[in-house]
Amino acid sequence: MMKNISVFLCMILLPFYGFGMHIAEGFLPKEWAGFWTLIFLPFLITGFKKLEKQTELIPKAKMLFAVVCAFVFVLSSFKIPSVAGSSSHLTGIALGAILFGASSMSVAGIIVLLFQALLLAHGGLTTLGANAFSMAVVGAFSAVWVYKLASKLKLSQWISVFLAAFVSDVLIYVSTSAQLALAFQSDSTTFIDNLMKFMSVFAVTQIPLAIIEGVFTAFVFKLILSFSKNEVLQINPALK
Amino acid sequence: MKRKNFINAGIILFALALVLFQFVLPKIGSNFEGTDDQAVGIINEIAPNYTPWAESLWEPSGEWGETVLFALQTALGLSIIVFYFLKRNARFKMDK
Repeated sequence: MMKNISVFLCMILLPFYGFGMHIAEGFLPKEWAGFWTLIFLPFLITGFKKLEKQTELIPKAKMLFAVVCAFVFVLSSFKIPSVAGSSSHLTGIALGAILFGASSMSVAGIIVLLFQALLLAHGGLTTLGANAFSMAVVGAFSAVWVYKLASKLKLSQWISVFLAAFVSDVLIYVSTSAQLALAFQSDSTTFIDNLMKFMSVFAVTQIPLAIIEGVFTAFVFKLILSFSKNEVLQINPALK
Repeated sequence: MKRKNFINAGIILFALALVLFQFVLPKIGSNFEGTDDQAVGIINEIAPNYTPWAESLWEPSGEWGETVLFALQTALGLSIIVFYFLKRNARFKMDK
């Protein structure tokens, strides 16, 4: 147990700094900002309802959900230098998605993004819907789907969680690139042209970080399982 | 000192060190440009006439203010994680 805690704390002390990637305040045209907010709202409502049901049935799930939110909070507060002299941050969304289900992470995502938008001027209120959709919908659902697929392929739980977190991290940035590419297409620049430009920035930076996120998430997942296996299995019986 | 107390003290000290680490990082990594800044650069390139239609309600003043707020975010998150592990560690020992 002590060894597990020590490794977790050491991993958290990796060198992080710089700025991550959320679409900045005012940097999505009004119609697109409204569009992504409307798309995100049903996921948020479903997430609240699911979480309410989970915590009603299993009161101990509240503490574990707080830990999952805190994990997103801590990971997104540190920014990691990557290749090509750029830096970005981890997302931490896959852990909660696997434990609580994808829709519950809409609630965690909105809490973290609101905090960052209001207090850190990182992201923004006008781009909250778009950023939340990328992080808490694309990131969470892709994590769950990849985890289920890897489990069906009989891969070990470590590898399944690693792959889920890796793919989730990469797809969050692909989604953000697509949102920007869609918003700024014009007669002179097509969606594909724009997507390639945004992806050329994010893909190079994010892939090494997604590997770190995969390793980190797999370790913390196992640590939580070793501390709270009964609660975890009550919340999500599929995680045997 | 009992083994349980030793583990608990270690967890708390590590968490404090991590929060303080936020103050050192901006000095180490000032040359690394963030991907959000690069994205703004691309937007300016493909849509030079686009003007952001909203601004942040409030921005931290200077590098120091920003560092303090990021450290606050780290501290908030870590306090919950540390509380959870301390509580679970106590229960784990009791169950044993």
